[in-house]
Amino acid sequence: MKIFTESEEIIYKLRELYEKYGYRRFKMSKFEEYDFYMEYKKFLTTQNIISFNDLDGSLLALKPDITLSIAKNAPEGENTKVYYNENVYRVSHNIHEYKEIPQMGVEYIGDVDIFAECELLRLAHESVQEIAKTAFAKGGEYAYSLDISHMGFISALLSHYGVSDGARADVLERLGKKDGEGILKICEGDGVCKEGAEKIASLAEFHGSYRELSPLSVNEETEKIIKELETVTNTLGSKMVHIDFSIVNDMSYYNGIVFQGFVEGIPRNVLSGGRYGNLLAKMGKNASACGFALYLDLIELYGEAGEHFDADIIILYNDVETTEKIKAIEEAANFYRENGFRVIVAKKGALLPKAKKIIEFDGEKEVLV
Amino acid sequence: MKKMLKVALPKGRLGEKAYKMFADAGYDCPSILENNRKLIFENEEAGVSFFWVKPSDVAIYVEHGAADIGIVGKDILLEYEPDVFDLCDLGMGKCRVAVAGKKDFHDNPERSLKVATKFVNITKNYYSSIGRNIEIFKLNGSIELAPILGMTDVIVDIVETGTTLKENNLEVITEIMPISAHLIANKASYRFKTEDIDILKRELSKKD
Repeated sequence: MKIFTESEEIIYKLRELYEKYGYRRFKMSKFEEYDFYMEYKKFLTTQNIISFNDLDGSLLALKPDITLSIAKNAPEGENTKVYYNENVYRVSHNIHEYKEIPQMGVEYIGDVDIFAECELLRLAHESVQEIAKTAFAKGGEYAYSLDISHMGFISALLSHYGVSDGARADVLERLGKKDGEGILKICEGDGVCKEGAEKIASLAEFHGSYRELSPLSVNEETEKIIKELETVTNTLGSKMVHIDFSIVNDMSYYNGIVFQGFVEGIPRNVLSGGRYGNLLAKMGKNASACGFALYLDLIELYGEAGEHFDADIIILYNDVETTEKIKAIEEAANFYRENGFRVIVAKKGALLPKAKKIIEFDGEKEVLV
Repeated sequence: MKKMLKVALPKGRLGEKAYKMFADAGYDCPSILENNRKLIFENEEAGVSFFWVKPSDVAIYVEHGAADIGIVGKDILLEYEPDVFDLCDLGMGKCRVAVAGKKDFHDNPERSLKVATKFVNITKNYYSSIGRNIEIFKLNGSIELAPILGMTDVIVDIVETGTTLKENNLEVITEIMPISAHLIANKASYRFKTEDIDILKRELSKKD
């Protein structure tokens, strides 16, 4: 008998995985001070927040994001390794209404060196693979992809070719759309040289291995980043890892690698993460940070509908005048329950749920209908 | 087994022209030209399936992965801002989004401007970029009627040749932006069909 839904099974397995790597579960309240989100507005992927007044008149918000709260509460001078499995409150992309969205995530705050970065990417990789394997396999086959980008690389290229502050936001927006032509136009309007414009545009079209990155390198900084991407890719040692610069997060919060996970069968990224040291700096904390979130609602939304039955067996009875009769029916039902079936007992003539088998009980024998 | 590439085409002239480009690039599907009421056309050998949808719906099918790629006007991309890759400008289906009004239209900056349009988002963005206060009247068709009947001062709409405007004594006041057909792709599909989509993009963007 299958009790857990696929997303419950995934949550269970991932919690085990994160615990094994020494991440502790972080439980928290659903409320946060509203002002806190206003201060770090751009870090959020949503601008709409459900707010309400506390009894003392102060304005509270239902959490649209977990990372900010973890970052705020992380003690300085030590490494915080946590994971969470909570609901967040955001505007749904599809119906443009507030929704409760189940989200899981992992955060590492403190001294995040290259080893910690690789570990987080490993966890992200395993998480996406787990989702693909458990909920989106067809005939035993599944596909997933963990795509890595680097805000430092993009930023270095834009600075090297003198892209103005005004044009940067537009370039990043077009980068996210893989619109190389659009970038060429923006760069041209911004007075960027032809070579620079073409390099930045080819950043948009890039999808592949770090090995193909060297033509795009412009200085020591970009060389260093290619080395970093080489290290993480080779450490992960997975064919499912690609470098793709269409993953762009806000530069005022994210400073290093950023990444997204995709599963064949889900039309958008099911995982999103990166290094957000700049956020910690804004909070006045001397630490680096890296983490990712999984959008669990997508598993249910795009996964298989599951079983088409409410129960395996329905046992129908006519009348239950005596204790013996009730006991006999119970016994019959329990026989099937003990053998791992879901059993519903119902009175004949009642509106029945859907079941694989309906059995009529008339005291002695059972008739298969 | 080769993975099928699912393509959403906009019904109408633009879609038919786009299909020809696909066919020339080796992704043909002869059954599509038969005159029948089928909705989906497949060519397993070429690994492609096509379906016709309302032009303004193409982006929705692609964003939600029912189609891997699609052909859509830039106007739709700007209006609905779907979360998709905007891979290239196909250089066809060219027209423009423009503000049009009666020939004797005079803009009085003392009051807000009444604008009829089906492109609410584009209209809002344009007028806020020039700092003009407006009232939007959202219509779904025959936009030109609004200023003729005096319901609004101007319209914001797609202008191709300008014939409809001329016949109704209207004229273009300002061009907001040029429009053409774009090749878009679902962000997840792109990861799993990268090679196919990249090849197609290269073939389709060969402008003559």
